[in-house]
Amino acid sequence: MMKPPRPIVLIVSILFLSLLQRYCVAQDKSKLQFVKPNPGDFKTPAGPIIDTSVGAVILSDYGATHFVGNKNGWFSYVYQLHTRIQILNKKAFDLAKVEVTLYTKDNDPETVDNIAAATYNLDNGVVSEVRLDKKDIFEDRKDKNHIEKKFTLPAVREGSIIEYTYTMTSPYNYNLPSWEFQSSEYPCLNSEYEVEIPQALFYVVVRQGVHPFDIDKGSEGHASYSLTEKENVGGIISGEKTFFVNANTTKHRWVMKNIPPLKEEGYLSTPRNYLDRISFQLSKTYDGSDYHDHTNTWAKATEELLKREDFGEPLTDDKDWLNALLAKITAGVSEPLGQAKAIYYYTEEHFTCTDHYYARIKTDLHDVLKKNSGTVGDINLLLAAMLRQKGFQADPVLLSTREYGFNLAKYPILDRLNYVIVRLSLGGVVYYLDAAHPELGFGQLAGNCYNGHARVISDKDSGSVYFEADSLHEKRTTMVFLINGAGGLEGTYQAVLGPVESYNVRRRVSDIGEKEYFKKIQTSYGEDLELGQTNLDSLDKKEDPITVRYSFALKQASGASMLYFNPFFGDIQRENPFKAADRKYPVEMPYTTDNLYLLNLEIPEGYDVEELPKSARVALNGDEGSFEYLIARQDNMIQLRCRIKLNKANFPADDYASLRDFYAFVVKKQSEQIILKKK
Amino acid sequence: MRILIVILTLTIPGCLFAQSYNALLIPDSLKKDARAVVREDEHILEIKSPSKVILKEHRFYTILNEDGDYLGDFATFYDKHTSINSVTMTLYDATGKELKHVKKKDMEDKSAVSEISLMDDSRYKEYNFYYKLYPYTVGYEEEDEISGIQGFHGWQPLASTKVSTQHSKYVIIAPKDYVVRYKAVNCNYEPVITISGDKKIYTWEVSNLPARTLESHGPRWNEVMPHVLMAPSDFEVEGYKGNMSTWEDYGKFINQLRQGRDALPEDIKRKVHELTDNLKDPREKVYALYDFLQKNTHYISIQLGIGGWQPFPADYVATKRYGDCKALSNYMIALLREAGITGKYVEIFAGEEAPKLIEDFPCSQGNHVISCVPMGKDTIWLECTNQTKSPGYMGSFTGDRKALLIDETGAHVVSTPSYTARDNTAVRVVNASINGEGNLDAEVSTIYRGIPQEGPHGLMYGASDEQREKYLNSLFHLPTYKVEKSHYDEEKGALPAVKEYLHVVSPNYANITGKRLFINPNLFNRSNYRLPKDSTRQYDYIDDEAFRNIDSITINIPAGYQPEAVPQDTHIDSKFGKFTASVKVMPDKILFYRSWEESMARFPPSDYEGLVKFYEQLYKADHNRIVLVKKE
Repeated sequence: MMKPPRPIVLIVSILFLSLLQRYCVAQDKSKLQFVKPNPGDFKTPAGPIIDTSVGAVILSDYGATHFVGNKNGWFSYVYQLHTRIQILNKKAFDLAKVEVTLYTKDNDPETVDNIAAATYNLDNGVVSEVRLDKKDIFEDRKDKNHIEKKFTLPAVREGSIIEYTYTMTSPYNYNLPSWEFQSSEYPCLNSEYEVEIPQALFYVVVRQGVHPFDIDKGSEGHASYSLTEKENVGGIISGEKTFFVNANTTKHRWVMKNIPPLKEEGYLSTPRNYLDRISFQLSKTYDGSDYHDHTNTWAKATEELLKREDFGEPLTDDKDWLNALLAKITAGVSEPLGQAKAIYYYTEEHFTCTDHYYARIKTDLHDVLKKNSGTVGDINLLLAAMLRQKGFQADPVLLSTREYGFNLAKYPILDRLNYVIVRLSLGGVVYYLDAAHPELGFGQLAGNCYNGHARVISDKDSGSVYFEADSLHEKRTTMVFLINGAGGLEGTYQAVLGPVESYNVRRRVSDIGEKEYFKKIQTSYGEDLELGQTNLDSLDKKEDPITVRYSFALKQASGASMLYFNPFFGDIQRENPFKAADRKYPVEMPYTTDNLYLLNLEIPEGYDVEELPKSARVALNGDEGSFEYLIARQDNMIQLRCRIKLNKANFPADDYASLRDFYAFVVKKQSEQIILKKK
Repeated sequence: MRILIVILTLTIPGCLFAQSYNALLIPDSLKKDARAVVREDEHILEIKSPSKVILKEHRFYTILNEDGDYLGDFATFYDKHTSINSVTMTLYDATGKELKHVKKKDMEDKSAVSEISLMDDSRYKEYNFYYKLYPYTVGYEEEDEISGIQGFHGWQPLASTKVSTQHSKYVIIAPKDYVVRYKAVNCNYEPVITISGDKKIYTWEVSNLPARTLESHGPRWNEVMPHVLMAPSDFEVEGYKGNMSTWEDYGKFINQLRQGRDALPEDIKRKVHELTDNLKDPREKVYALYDFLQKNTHYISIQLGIGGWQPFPADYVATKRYGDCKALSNYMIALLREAGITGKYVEIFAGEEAPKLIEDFPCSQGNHVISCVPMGKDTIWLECTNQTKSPGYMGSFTGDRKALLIDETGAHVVSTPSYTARDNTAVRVVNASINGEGNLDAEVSTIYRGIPQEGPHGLMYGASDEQREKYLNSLFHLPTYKVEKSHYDEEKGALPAVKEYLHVVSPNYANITGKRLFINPNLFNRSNYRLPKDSTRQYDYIDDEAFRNIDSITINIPAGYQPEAVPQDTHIDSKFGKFTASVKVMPDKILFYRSWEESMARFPPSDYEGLVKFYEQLYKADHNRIVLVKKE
C-alpha cells in the first residue's frame, strides 16, 4: 500500500530567470528519435508503481516547447511530443489511438506536422518494426474551429512497444501546452518537459500535484528568430517584411520519474486537482522597448476582462435595444427588488444554457437574445446587461465549478475559471444570481459553484469572494406521525428539504412530472404501505425549500404475535456511503449536513412494547459531527428523534476511517427495530 | 460497428403550403396524450436512376410542451453519398406567425464520426431555436441528392411515442419500369399509383392519427406502429451494381464487394499451416485459428464511402492487425480457407436492443458482421471483433436472433444460438458465519454460465485489479462490507462458464436490538425489482431474460440464540416464473435455499396486475428476516 501523499501542492512561479548559470544545451534531438528496442526491452520493468494487472506502462513521455517567429510579426510556439509505451494487455489497446485537436480561426490555424509512429513486436527473439503509413492519418473537421488529426498504430498486440511523435505549431501563445506528468490510468517511468522561451514572452507557471520532481532546473540560452510582418502603407498592404530578432531565452526542464497512476475516488470535488501537472499563462511581453503586463495580477486581469469584447466591454454601453423587452418584463412591477427578480426569472426561463464550461460571450449579446440560448457566459452576462440597463448595479463574478477544479486567489489563471455568475447589489444587500439553471431561485447557486475562491469583475469594487462547501448547509427535517386508524396504522409524512435536494427534486419533477415522482416513492415502498394524498409544496417558489408531504396507510399482518417495526420511512441510510476500505485523498463533500428525523408512533391497538432500540449519541472527531438516536415511550406513544450532523464538508484523508466508522454506526443504528408484542 | 446504415434523413421544400400553423386549430383528439403534433410531413423521393435519388422533405411540428422539444432540435446528416442541396428552418409562434427563418449557412456543421470509429465520413448540420413558449411550431424544408443508393427510409406516419399526426404523405417518383418495393407493417396503407409521362408515381397519405404511448417492458415502436418499409430493386454504389429484390441477389452484391479481398500474405499462410496441419479435428483447427485471430488483431473501425459495406482486404488486416467487423470476419474466413475449412460471412443486428431482421423484405439490414463455420448439423459461430470471447459463443450481443448468411448462391436467413434458462445459470454456494456482534464472514463460490457469465468475464478481462476491487466493493447491498479476496477462473466453450470465489466480510451485517438478532439469510441475491401499479396497461409485458439462479447458503450462528420469528417458505410456480425460498433454523446454523427461474415470455395487459404481485412476493421473500432471541 502506498503512503498517502500530502495534500495538494499548488505553486505559482514566474518562469523568469535572473541568476543564471549560462550553459548552453542545444535542444536534445535524440529524445525525439525513434530507437528500435532490443529484445531485452520487452521485459516489463518491475517496480513498486507497476502492479500485475496494469494494462500498459508509459516508458517515457517527452515534450518540448520552443518558439519560432510567425507571419504576424510575433511568435508561435512549437510543441514536440514523443511518447513510448509498452502495451501489456488488451485493456490498454486504446492507447494505440492518438488524437490531436487543433484550433483554427481566421486563416490562422494551428498545424501539426512530422507525425510518425512505430510499433515493435518481439517474436522468437527477433524484434520487428511496423511504421505508421501516412495514408492512415485522418483529419476530422469537428466543427468550424476544430480539426482533429488522428491515427492508430498498426500491428499492435499484447506486449507491443509503441512510439509516436508529432510537432504542433500554434500562434495562440497565451497558454502554452500544459504537461501532465501523471496519467490517470497507467504508471509512467519517465516524464519530461522542456521549454525554451524568448525573453520577449514571460509566463507564469502553475505547478500542482503531489509527487516531487527529479529534475527542476532553469537556465538561460540564446536564439535568433525570423519574424515576418505585412507591410502597410496608408492602409494598403504592400508586401511583407522580415526581420531577425536575437534574444536571450529562458529555458527550463522538469523531469519526474516513477509516477503511479492517479486513482479516482468518490467524494472528491475532482481528481483533476491532484494530478501532477504544470500549466502556463502569459504574464508579460517585451516588444524591444517596453514591457507589457498581461493578466499577471487580479487588478490587471480585471482591467483586461473589463475591456474584452467577449466579457466586460459589452456591459458598458447603453443598450437601448433592450429597453422594450425590459419594459415588458417589468410591466406592473415598481419596487426594485421585484423588477430585478422579474428580469432574473425571465432570463432563466427563456434561455437555454448549451455549455456550462464557457464563461465568456461566444458570439454577441444580440445573438444570444436572438437564439434564446448560449453558454453560461452568454446567459449570465446578458442578465448582467439587462440588470444594468434597468439601472441596477450588477457585476459578473468569475469562478470555477467543483468538477472543473481549483482556482487561485493569489494569481489569476483564466483557463481555470469556467463559470460566471452575477452579483447584484441592491439596497445594501448582495445577491448572487445564476440564470443558467432553470431550477434555481433568485439568490441561489447550484452546489457545484461552492468551490472556494471567486472573483468579482467590476470597475468599482472588484475583489475576492468565497463560496465554500462548508458554508452550504443542507438541512433536512422529516416528521412522521402514525396513529391507529380504522384499518390499522395511518400516517403522515412531511419533509422539508435542503437547498441542494430542493434543486434536485425540481429538476427531477421537471423531467418526469409530479405524478411519476410520487409513483416512484410508492413503488419503493411496495404494497406494505399505500400512499394517499400527496403534495409538493413550493415547487414553483424557487427561493423556498420544497416540502414533500404525503399521507399513507400501513398494512400490518393482523393478529401477528410479534411486530417488528423499523421506525424510518424513506430516509434511512441503508448502506455506508464510504465503500472503499481505505483512502489516499481527502474527503470533499459538497455541503455540510444536518438531517433531522422525528417520529411519533401510536402503539398499535392490542400490542405492547416488547423491546426498543437503545438511545445512543456519538460524536465525530470531537465537534466535527454528531449522530443522535433518542427513543422513548410515553404512555401509548413512541417518540424517536434521530439526527445526523456533519459540521464541515472537507475532511483530510487521515479522518477517512473515523468517517467510515461513523457512517457504519449510523447504518447499524438505523436498521434497528421496534419490537411489539401482542397483549 | 456500422456496416450498412441506411438512414437518409430527409427532406425538402418545393411546394408552398397554404396550411396555417396556428396551434389553436389542432383538434383536441390530436392533443390528447401528445407532447407534439406532426402538422405536416411530406417526403418525396424521386428515383432518377439506380444510382441517383433526389429527396425532398418538408415537415412541420407543433411542440406542445417541454417533453416535445427534441423535435425542435434539428440535425440532418450527410456523407460521401449524400449531399444537402438546401435546408431551411422556420419558427412560428402559437398563432402560426413566423418568428424566425434560418438557412443552411446559419446552421452548425459538425463531424458525426461515431464514437466507436476511428474514422468515417458522416457529418451533420444542426440548429435549434431553443424556443420555450408553448405551443410553438417548427418547420423544416430540405432537399438532398443521394448518389449511390443503399436503401430507403420508409414511411413512418407516427413519428414517435406521444406524438400525433395531422397529415403525413410519402411519395415515390420512379422511372416507369423501375420496380419500387414496399411492404405495409401494422397497417394496410396502400399507395395510389399514377402514371405521368415516363414516370410512375406512388403516393401514400394519411390524416389525423392520435398519439400513442409506449410502455416500459412493452413492445418496441416498430412492433406496434403503422409504417411502410421501402426498398430499392436495382441500385448502384460507387460503380458496384446490384439488386436487392431477393436475398439471393442481395447476397450476390455483397459477394461482389468482397471479391478478390481474401488473399493472404505468404507468412500468414505459413502460420496457418503451422497451426493447423497437425490437427486432425476440423474443430480444433477452427479453434486454433480463432485463437490466432484473437491474439493478433483488434477492432478499429475506418469506414469511408463504400467502406461502410466493403471490407478491407485480408492482407491489409494481416499487416495492420486491425480492422472493423467486416474486415476481421473476412480475414478469419481467409485464414479458415487456407486451412481447407469453409467459413461464412454473416450480416447481423448486434446488441441487446437490436432490431429484428425482417425476413420477408430483402434489403440492407444489420449493423454488424460475424463469421461462422457450418459443420454438419452444428455450426461454430465466431465473433471476430472480440479478443476474449469463446469460439461458438454469441451471447447477448449476437445470440438468439435471425441473421443473413452469405454464400456463393446468395444470402440466407439463419438463426444464431439461443440461450434458455437451462443455459443461463448462476449457482452460488455460501459458507458464512455470524458472530455475537452481528459481524458476517462469508466464503462465496459462484459458477456463472451463458449470459450471466458475461459480467464476470468482463471483470476478468476488461478491468484492472483496482477497477475490479472498486466494482466488487460497491456491488452488494450490504450495509458496510469489504471483499477481502477475489478469484476468477474461466471455462471456455460454446457455453462458457466463469467460476468466482469471493471472501466477504461485513461488520454489523446482522442487526442486534437488545437481546434480538435480526438476520436476512439471503446474503447476495435479493430482487429489488418492483413494478409500478398501472391500471391502464395497454400493451403486452415482455420478459426478455431467461435464467436460473440457485443460492445455497449456510450461516453459522452464535450459541445461545433461539428462533422467535422465522419467515415462511415461499414457493411460486406460475407462468411468471418459478421461485423458491426456504429457510431452516438449526441450533447452530441457518440453512437457506433460493432458486429463481425465468423464461422469455410475453404477457397480455390483463396479466400485468399478476406481475406486480409476483415481483412483490419475490421482493418480500428476499427481504425477510429471521429473528433470534437470546435465551434468558
